[in-house]
Formats: sequence, structure tokens, C-alpha cells
Amino acid sequence: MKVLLYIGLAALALLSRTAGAELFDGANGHEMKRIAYSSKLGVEVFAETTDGKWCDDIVSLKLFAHDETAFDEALLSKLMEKVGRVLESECPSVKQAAVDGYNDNTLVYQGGASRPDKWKPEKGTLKIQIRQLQAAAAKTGKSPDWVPPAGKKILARVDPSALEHRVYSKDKKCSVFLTTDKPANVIKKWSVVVGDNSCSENLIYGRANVTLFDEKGKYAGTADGYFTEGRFTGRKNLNVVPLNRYGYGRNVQNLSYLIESDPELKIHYVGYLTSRRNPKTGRYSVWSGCSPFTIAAVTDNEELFLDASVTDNIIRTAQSFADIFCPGVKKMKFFATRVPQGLPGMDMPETEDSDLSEDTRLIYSAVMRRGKDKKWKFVTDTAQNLARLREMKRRAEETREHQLMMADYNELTRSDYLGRLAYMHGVERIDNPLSMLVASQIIESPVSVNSLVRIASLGKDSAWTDWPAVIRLTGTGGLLNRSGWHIVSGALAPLPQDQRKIQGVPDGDFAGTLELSAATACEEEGCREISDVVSLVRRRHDKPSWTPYHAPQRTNGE
Amino acid sequence: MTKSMAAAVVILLLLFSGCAFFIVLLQRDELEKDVQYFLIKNKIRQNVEYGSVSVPLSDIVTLNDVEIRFSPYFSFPNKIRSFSVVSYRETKTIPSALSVSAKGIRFKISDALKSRKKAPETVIEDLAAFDPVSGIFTMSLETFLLSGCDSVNADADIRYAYLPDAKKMSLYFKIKDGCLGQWQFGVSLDNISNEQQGRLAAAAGHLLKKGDPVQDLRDFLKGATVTAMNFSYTESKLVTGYKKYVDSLYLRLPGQPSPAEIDSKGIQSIVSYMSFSSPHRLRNTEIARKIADFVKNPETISFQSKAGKKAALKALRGNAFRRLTELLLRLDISVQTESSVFGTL
Repeated sequence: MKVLLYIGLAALALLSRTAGAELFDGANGHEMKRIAYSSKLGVEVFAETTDGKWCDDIVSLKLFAHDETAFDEALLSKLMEKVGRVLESECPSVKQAAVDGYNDNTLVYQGGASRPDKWKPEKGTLKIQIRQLQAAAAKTGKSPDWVPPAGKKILARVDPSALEHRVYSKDKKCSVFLTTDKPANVIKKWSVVVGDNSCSENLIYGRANVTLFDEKGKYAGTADGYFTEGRFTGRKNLNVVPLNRYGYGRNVQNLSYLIESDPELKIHYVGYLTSRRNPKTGRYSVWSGCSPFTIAAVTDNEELFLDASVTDNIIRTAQSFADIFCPGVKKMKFFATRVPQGLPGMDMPETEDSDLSEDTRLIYSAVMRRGKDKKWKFVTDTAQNLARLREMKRRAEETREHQLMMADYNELTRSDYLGRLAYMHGVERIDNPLSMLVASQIIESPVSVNSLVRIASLGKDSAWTDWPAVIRLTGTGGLLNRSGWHIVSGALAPLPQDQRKIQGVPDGDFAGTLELSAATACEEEGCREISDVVSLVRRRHDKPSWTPYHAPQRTNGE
Repeated sequence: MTKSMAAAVVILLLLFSGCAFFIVLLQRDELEKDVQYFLIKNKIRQNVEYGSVSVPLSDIVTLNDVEIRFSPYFSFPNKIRSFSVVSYRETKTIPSALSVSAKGIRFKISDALKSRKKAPETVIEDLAAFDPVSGIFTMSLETFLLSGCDSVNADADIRYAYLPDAKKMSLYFKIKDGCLGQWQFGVSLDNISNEQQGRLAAAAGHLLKKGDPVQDLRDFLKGATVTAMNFSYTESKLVTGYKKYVDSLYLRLPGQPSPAEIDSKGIQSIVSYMSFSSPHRLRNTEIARKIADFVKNPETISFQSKAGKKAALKALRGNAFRRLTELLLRLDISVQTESSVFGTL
């Protein structure tokens, strides 16, 4: 095995010299220099250049592989070890490398390597993140759970709302995705003729000249420009990883794509392309994502936006993506959200009723413009940090709840036994069943009561108490599951005479029947746990760690 | 005796029997008329129904199967097996002596309460807020029900005596029921004018017609002085039942001491309450202890005023309970308790 590796290394080193002067028009418009090639692994290694130079402290590498397995940890480690040596040889100042891995022109790996770590690559996370985002988009409103699913090939997930048809060349070796609202059975008969493109994986990537023919074989149009996963982007060469293809009605069609993922902050940066229908011609525009540039930071990590410096950093990152994907763009929309799609203004058309201030899926949103100084500035009144607003609200509620709990606590310390029982059961007062039996006898109607009782026996849907009187509880299913002390609520009436006789209730003794509506089980004899006022308040407010006199800390600006 | 003599005796006997029968019929008819006249004269004919009038063999007029028809605002089923006027005397057309006895008084306390026709919410609220001490006086009927006494089957005796010239009156009341126990109450009053005496009769009439004799009783007692008073109660089930209720009210758990019984702290509270009216702490403590003993072991308790003591009602101040306390203390009341062992001898 070692011998094979050395042979591979030698071949790579040889190729690195021969490829030294070769330049080509990179997928995203940047100049690229091929610095290495491994025929054994089927991997070409390119370095991104700036002003014709690629060598720096940090270099950006693009690895193009014929087989996705080239980015498996073990193989990639060996490859990067060799690439590292080439880098050190060709560019002595290099310390780190950012690595993007492509398979069939599709970004499938993102990571990095550094000289101190002997060019051992980071674990690639891109593929699983793409799948998470696609899955999240499929389940509207559900955020990515950061658990990687299994799988291999990644293509954009096409939603049923997408007005999209795949149109093949006559030989079926090449195809494009055509956005049209024409019927599928008609489009099925359409065809393309592709020029200037190798058409890998049966889909056009990159530059091509595509001529479209309708079902009758008549010329239907030409698409001369760049394609991303078979979708025409006009003069814009977007070498991106499409995530989801969907639409909001026939007029607005969408395509989301992954810009970058930040595993440390747990953020996916997602961009959006739109294709709009021309009402006059019925045709759809080329896919565009720069008017304005719209970017979403998809994350569950809402707390990031509670810190102003982190928020600024994330926004700066988004601004840098605007420069990369849409150089010169003057307007951008930034969203931080839990979901990758489905927010008005982000990818959904906005309406008059669109109000995202209460939308828990949205974390942050802002519209930015830049003028002649090229600095991004927030458009007045467009920035809203909902994470912070929610946090302030939460803390205000927490403070308020603490005040309520303190009020309860103070009240309870002054309350008598019955008052505490009532609090425990969540009612205004605890009634004496004997008094209420008399009341029921006088008004000749059941009386609504809340009482402390001891359940002596429990049946299928009824129970009997033996304290403070014999009371038959009915409708106990689902409300009682054990005997003992309870605080019960329900409609109380005297026990009928025949039942008194059956139960052997002496004359003069009270006995009743209670249609149960609620019950609170007690742990101790006579519900004596109510003497612990703190526990009582905690239980009522569902705050098991609450302590009196320790108010929650207030945030600045509250 | 010859046959003719015997025949004559039989004929005479038959004649005498016939005459006696005829006389009885005439008397019954006369008595019936007298009763009707009395009821009409006192405007209570509509309020009293009876089955029959007994023949008076010893000056005792007895109405059988009596039903009192109270006012529509206070009407409930009741039955008195027999109601006897044992004696009745007038002095200068003023009733000066009356003794009546009622046997088999039957009614349900709950029926009496229902007849008040209070709103259900009021009934519930009143009972929810029931105070076990003051409630005995302010909600007596409810107290009986809370003690477990509903069906009443009682015998009662009432005696009245009035000396118009001396303006003195004495009243005696006794009732015995299987659940409510035996109650005896006697009071001697001074300074009762003829007009005030009339208010007592009016009170009885208003009880029947309006259900509320309070104002008449106030007028009756206005300016009166109590010169003697006694009261006794012999337990049947009332106090025991009430203790059970109080136990439940204060959540007495099994095995715990009864909060209904008066402990030393409770005795002190009673003494303090009484001492506010009369600072005779030794006597007050004795009274409080006797009451506590009775509550603990309810048999018979009697209150007896000291001879020669008197108390003017208008001099009493405070609420009803305070005034009663002050009255008892001004009369230098003494309390006795008896056990059932002695009571049954």
C-alpha cells in the first residue's frame, strides 16, 4: 500500500510542475491554478487566485474528483498530506488551506487543513448539512435538527410547487431544467440541442449554448450563458449547490442554494434565486439572485443574536457573501431564521398582511444598501432583532412571573391551611362538604365544590371517600388513579336514600355523591405537603428551581 | 228485681245514655264554635287547620291533627298530632294565664329553610361563610341541619302568666325532640305594660302570617327588666353532631384532638370575652370550664340566674351575642352540668 502511495505522490508532484502555468475560467468566476493532480484517485487540485496570485498564508483550494469517495476521511487525509507537501514546496509562506471538494461539479465537501496539523483535513460536513436543509425545507416550519441522515448523491429537492420540466437532448445524454407553466405532456415532447458543454451527469453545468425545440420540432428559443445544475442563470456563472426548487404560484419560482455552513456556530448560509414569469410572453426570466442579494442564516442557535458582536460578525459574513456571489450589488436582504424557506420577503412574496414580528421562525432581518463608499448600511427601520426582542420579552415575563410567584409566596405565608389547599388545587376556596351538602339539600340542586377528601376505595369509574364523610365520587376515569388524600372538584349532592341504606350510613350522618371534574393527588396525610410554601409556589408555576427573594437578572435596555 | 223493674232501669239507662250522648254532641258543637270563634277573633283562621276537637273531660281543649299554615313566604309542611290548651284565664279581658301542650310536632328543618326561598347563590355563600360560633345564633336552623338534625318529632309545653297590675310576666318553654334534645327556658320579666303584652300575641300572629316576629318581640321587650331566668339543655344528638361538623370544618384528621372541644386556650378566650362585660374572672372561669366540660361530654347543662338579680334589657349594649352574655352575667348566672348517670335516675 505504501509503495502505491509513493507512486501516486511522485505522479502528483510531476503533474504539479506540468500544470503550473495552466489557467482556466473557474466555476465562480475566479481565476484558478491547477497545482496538483492524482490519476489514481481521480482528483484535480486547483488553487484560487487573486490578482493572478494564489500563494498566501491561507490558500483556497478546489478539489475536483470523479468519485465522491475521494472525500472520505482516510483517502482525503492521504491526499492532503501530499497536497501539503506540494503547497510547502510551491508556496513556502502557506499555513492554512480552505478546501472545497466537488464531485461532478457539485460541492460535496467543505473543510480545511493547516500546516501545524500536518495538513490533516477537517471532517467534511457539507453533504449532511445540505440534506438537513432539504429535509427541513420539506417539512415546513421545522428547523434542521443537526443530525446527519445517510445517503450519497445530492441534487436539489424539487417541490411539487415547482413549475419545472426536464427537457432532454434527442440522444438523452444531456438535459436542462426548463421553468414553464405549460402542461407536462406537451413539454415531454420538447428537446434541446446543446453546444459548448460536456454535459456531465446528463445535466448541463457551466457555460453552454442550448437551443430549445418544441413538441413539433420548431425552434422555441436559445439559452446562451451559464447553467447551474441544468438551470439557466444567463450571464451569471453561479457554481452553487442548489438545495430546493419550489415556487409560490405561477408568477414566482424559487431556487435556494447553499452558500456555506459554519459548523461551529451551527449556521447554514442559504441564498435564493428567483425566476419570474413575464405576463406578456408567458416565459420565465433567467435565474437571478442579485436583485437584491438575499441571504438567510439558517440556524437553531437563536442565542447567537443576543450578542451584538456575534450578530455583527454574522452580518459581516453575509455581506462578504454578497461581494462574492453578487459583486457590485447595492442592496441585500439578510434574514436569520430557523427555516430555510417560507418567509415573506425572504423567498415568499410579501403581502400587505405580512408581519414577521410575531413569527417565531424568524430570528433577525434587515435590509442593507451601500452607496458610493461601498459600505453596507442598514435601511432605516428595517433591522429587527426578534431574538433579542423575544429574549427581552422572555426576561420581562420571567421577572413578572417572579413577582407573581413572590406575591403568591407572601400571600401563602399568611394563608391558613384551607387557603394553601385552594392554591395547590388552583381554585378560589376549599369548601366544607358537609356545609355544601346542606346547601344542596336546601336548594335541591347539586352544588359545585372543591374539597379535601380521603379516598378509601377506588373502582373502575367511581370511588368512595371515608373522610370527612361518605361520598361517592363518579366519573373518576382518567382523573383518579389511586386512593388516599385528594383535593377534588365537582358537583356535590346528598346521597340518595337507597344508597345510604346500601352503604349503611347511620341516620344523621352526612353522605353525598360527587360528579368529579378535577382532582389533585396529595402525597402526605391530609395534604400536609402544603406546609412547604416554596414547593407549593414552584409546583403551581412549574418552576422547580425557583427561590424566593432571588429575582432574575434584568438585561440592559429592559 | 222484677222484670218490670229491670226493664225500667234499662230504659232509664238508655235514656241517660241518650241524654249524655246528646249533651256531648251539643258540647262538641259548642266547643267547635268556640274554637272557630277564637281563631276568627285572632285572625288566624286561615293559618290553623285541625282534624277534630276533643271532648273536654277535664277542662282541657284538644285539637287533633293540627297543621299550621304559615304565610306564603314561609310555608312548609308540618303536623301536630295534638294541641291542648291546658288552661286559659283572663283578667279584665287581658290574657293572664295560658298553658298549652303540643304532642307530635313534625316537620323538616330543611323544608323550613327551603320555604325562605333564598337565591341558591345566597344559600351557598351563607353556608360557605358559616361561622361555627356566631352561626349558632344567627343561623340556628342551618346549625341544626349541620348537626345532622333535619326531621323534627317533638313535644312542647308553653306556659304564660301575666299580672297586668304588677306588670310582671313569666314565660316557660319546653321542647323535647329525638335529635334536637330537650330544651327548657324560663324567664320572669318586670315592667311589661299591657300594650307590650299585646305585642307578644302580635308576634305569634306575625310568625304565622309573615314569618318574621322580630320587630314585635323587640317592641314586647322594650323597657323590660329580666328578674329571673333559667335555661337547660339535655343532649340527644345535637351537640355531638355539631362537634362532628366543626371537626370537619377545621379538617380534623383521624387521630387528632377535636378542634370543636374547648381547650385551655379556648377557656381563656371565653373568660376574656365574658370579662369584657363583667370582670368577675373567677366566676367567669368557672362558667367557661363548665361549658367546656359540657362540650367535651355533652349531657345536660343548666343556667340559673341568682335570686334577686335583675337586668334591664335597654341597658345592654353590643351585638346579640354580647348582649346575651352581658344579660347572663348581670343576672349572676350559675352553670351546672349533669351526666347521664344522674340524669336517668
